Amino acid sequence: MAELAVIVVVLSAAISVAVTGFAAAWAEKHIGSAAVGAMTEKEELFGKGLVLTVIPETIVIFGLTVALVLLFVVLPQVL
Amino acid sequence: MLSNERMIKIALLGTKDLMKDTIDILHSLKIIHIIDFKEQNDTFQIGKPLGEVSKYSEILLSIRSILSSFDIRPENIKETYTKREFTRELEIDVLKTEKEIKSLNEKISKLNYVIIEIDKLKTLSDIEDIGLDKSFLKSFNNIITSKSDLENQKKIYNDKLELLIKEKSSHFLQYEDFLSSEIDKMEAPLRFTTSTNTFLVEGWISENKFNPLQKTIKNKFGDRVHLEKVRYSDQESIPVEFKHPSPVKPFELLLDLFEYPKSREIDPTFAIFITFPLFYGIMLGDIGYGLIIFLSSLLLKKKFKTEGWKMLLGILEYSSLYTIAFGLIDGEFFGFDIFHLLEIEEIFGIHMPIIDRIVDFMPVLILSISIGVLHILLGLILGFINIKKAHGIKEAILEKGSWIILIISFIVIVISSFFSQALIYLGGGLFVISIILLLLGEGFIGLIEIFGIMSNILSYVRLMAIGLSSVGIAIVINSIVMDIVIPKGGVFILLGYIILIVGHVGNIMLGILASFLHALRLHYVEFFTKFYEGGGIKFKPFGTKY
Repeated sequence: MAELAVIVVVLSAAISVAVTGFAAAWAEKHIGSAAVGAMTEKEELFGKGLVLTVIPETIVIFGLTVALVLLFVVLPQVL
Repeated sequence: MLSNERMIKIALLGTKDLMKDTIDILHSLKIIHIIDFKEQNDTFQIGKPLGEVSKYSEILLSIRSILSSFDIRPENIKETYTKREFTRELEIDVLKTEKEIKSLNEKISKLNYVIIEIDKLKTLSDIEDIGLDKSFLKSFNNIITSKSDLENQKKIYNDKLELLIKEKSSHFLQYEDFLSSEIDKMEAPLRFTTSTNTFLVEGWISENKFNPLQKTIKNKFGDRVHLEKVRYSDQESIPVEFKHPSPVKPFELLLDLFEYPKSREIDPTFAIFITFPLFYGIMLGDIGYGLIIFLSSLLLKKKFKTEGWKMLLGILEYSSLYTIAFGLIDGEFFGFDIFHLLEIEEIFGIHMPIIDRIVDFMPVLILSISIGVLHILLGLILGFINIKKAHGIKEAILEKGSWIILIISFIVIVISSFFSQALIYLGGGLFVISIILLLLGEGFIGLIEIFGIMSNILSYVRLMAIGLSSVGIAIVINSIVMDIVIPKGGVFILLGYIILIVGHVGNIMLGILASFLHALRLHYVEFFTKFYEGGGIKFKPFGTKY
């Protein structure tokens, strides 16, 4: 039983990083291309565009946090 | 320190014959931010430019094209270029030189054209086979051999051009300076209100410069030009001029990138000055990386002298100090565990490293969230002050006070679990009060907003996460090189060092960018939304170049 629990925890950690990473990248792709489009019209928008582009990175940071908690807090209790 | 220059609105009224002299004075003083006149009617119109602006603009354009095509910039000139009084002789000299440069350029491009054509002829090497006359072939060959003469000639022209540019570049810069300010002056009436015989300038001036201006005007024109303060309302867009001490100055750039503050709201530059480098340092936290950023920003400061670059490098320089400090706390030097490698157990009785953030990420996580709570609390308090100033205490309590109490109640509840259980009643009481205030202030939607503020606070987890990813990459690079590549010996040692350098350079780039952007984002998205309105305008006194 314990082995199954370990597998589930580790898999959950992997999924939480992988899926949020994908989600962040996908969101950033759209914002990034829009930002570059806006920049060709008005070059001063570089600063704002750059900041807007990294906004979805929060998703992957949450994912990473969840994974870390799973690995370092939950996993020792299961073992 | 937190307040900016106080601005007052003035009006300057005079007869049209004195307009030119007035413009000259205002231009040299550089203290008035002119408000452009827009509402024209039958009696009042915008003024007409003085002199032939278009002619001078054309000259300015050709001067600027020379400046940019030969890359003449003030910082590239070795001799000190003085802004002394512009003389008629200098103007004639510059215009003459400009013509010379143009004609030399033309000659060179013609020569280039001929040389290219000759090169094309050369490719027709099988010309003898088509049965042409010998004398024709001879002249043909003559043309080809004359190519070297042409090239010599071109070189002579090029040298001449280079010498000319070198000799006259300071004159060109001076003339460009003179012309652009001259055109500025000539076009100034376009921003004035004029009637048939009078003109009126409206503008903003910092309060303590009003009296000197009045004195100057009085001395020069007596009563013929009249200056007075004009009443204005808070709702007008008053330009903002910062007065920050020099260490805080670079951080104005971060407001420039976002939006300028309105004159009536709190200027957050000082708060950014404290928190931005702190966040940056927590995220990057590496002695080696910090040193490299510090040294390179010092070096680049000598190279890039424009205002924006100076500010950016100033921010990086300041943030790198925090990076080094947090590197000492984390015990990281290019990802190596420096204290462990040097076998330093403790310094001044403190165990080193204080926090090993790879193993012990929980304390850093809790620290990050605590910083987030405090930072957002600060934002809300600033918002409270802003709203109190604008709409009174009641609105301030309903709109921001409820959130402040809510966050404080959370803090009290968390603290109560460590110290005494009794505190939990205080926390619970505060929580109930804040919810009531929230419902009064924002209605049911306010309750949903609680999740928003929670995600804001959780967003500060990035202080830990970004740092962890940067250390992670550094450690991976180090272990690949030290444990896998170098032990193989021979050529692999060289390869190992190459991987080490390339990897760390890449990681530094990533680290600089990621830490900067995320620190910036925490300010723009999490901090500013609690109080900042923005949309103000920058104080641009007439007479300064922009």
